[in-house]
Amino acid sequence: MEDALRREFEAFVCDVEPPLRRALIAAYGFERGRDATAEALGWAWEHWDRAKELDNKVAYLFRVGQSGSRDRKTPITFERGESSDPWFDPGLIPALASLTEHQRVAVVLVNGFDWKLREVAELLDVGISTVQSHLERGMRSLRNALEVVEND
Amino acid sequence: MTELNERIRDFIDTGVAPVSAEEIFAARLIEQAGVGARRARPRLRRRLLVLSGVVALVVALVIVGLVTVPGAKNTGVTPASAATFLESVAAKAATERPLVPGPGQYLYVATIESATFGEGRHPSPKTFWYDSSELYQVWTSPTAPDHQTYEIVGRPEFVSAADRAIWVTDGSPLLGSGSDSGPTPPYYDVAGLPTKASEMVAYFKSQIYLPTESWYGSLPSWEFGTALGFLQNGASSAQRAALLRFVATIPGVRLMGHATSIATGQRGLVIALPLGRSGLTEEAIFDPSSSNLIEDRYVFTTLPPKPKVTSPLPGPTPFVGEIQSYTDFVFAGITRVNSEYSLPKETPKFPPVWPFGSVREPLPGWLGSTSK
Repeated sequence: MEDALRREFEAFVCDVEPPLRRALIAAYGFERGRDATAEALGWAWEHWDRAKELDNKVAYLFRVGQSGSRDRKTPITFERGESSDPWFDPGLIPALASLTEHQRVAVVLVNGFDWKLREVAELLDVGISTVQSHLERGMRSLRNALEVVEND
Repeated sequence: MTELNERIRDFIDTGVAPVSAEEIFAARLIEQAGVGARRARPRLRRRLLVLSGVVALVVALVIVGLVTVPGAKNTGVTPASAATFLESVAAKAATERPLVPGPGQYLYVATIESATFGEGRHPSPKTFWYDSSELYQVWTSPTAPDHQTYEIVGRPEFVSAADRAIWVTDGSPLLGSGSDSGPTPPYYDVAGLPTKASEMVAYFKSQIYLPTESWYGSLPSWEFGTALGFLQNGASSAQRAALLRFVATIPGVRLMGHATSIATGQRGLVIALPLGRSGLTEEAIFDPSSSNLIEDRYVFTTLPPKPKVTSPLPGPTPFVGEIQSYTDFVFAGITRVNSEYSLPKETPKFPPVWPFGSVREPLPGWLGSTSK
């Protein structure tokens, strides 16, 4: 019985963890984002009967992760561990960090991971037009910071 | 554009390892065994507190705004004293003016929050630390989109010259606090708060915008912290009275004598709850002449056990009596209709230069964030 539950939860994690982690890292940086992901998935395991029936699992768990990360005094950082791939653009760190939380979530999820505006709107509990606005402003800031010329 | 999108994707996906189901199972087993580290608070402490060894002495001298040794306590006071005091405060609350926004109105709450932050940035591998006091202004309404808007301003100040040197090495970046681009302030939905103390836990559990019990690490800590959060966020007279009576039922709550709030300089009586192995005690200073919660703060009342694993961010050596962080209540009121940024007419004027009374030279730049 326990094994069956675990297998069910493992499948759930395979499905939900990647988008949840990306959204929370976009919002809070690597360390806090990962902690919040673990916090949310821990909650899901502790409330498995309820979690598996959720309509929008990622959006709900995003809020659980937010609640677990409402420690306002911990700075967000996009610093990477020494073991991670060094071939990333260091300019992305200050550029992403300079965006507001909602701008960063919109930019990362829509442009980086092909989320639909509606999906981000449900995640952030805001309107689609608000997400569009965050996305446009965020991309404008990011392009300026990285000196990227739009060519398409 | 496509290249930028790929760079974003690679950056986010390769920064940290995914969270596995095995990790969740293991964490649960550790928690069940009772040996797991508290999640958020130790992380908070590790990052908030400063340096180590000899430097800790310098820090103790420098961050006078945050560090103090609490005054004499009333030793030997029984828990019954806390209950008696809280009952008297609850009786006062029951007769006070309610602070609940009507249709189209917003509850406005101003607080001062202070703590010490550490940040690590490229190219320096080191962490620099700075103090920050911030004025939080939050407008909430249960019927408004996103429920709340907020404005946070403050000024950072380096803890030591060494921290300033690291900051310069890192290119003198504009500093932001945890609130600068982190999550919004917690949303306290006072509209649905029960008027019976016995119903409070069930209501707290239903609040998805607030930190969970697992975040706090223990049931009493979560109950105490959440109740104090609501007490700094308005509510009706009956609701505040119920909250105070609920606090009196939390196991471990003690009456600890008098103390004065750090930023606002108000004197009151302290209700405290030790937070276990962390060495911290959460202290709430109440105005005995009203039901106002003057200050909520975290104080080291015993030394925590030394961590078995060396932290990648060099940690400080806390000392007994050190105030880790605090939140001072300044003002709460109801705005006029349909204006989430208007100030109630009784709102006091805030000093133009931040922080209050500091003679230390502030850093260049401005610290703050807003949902405007």
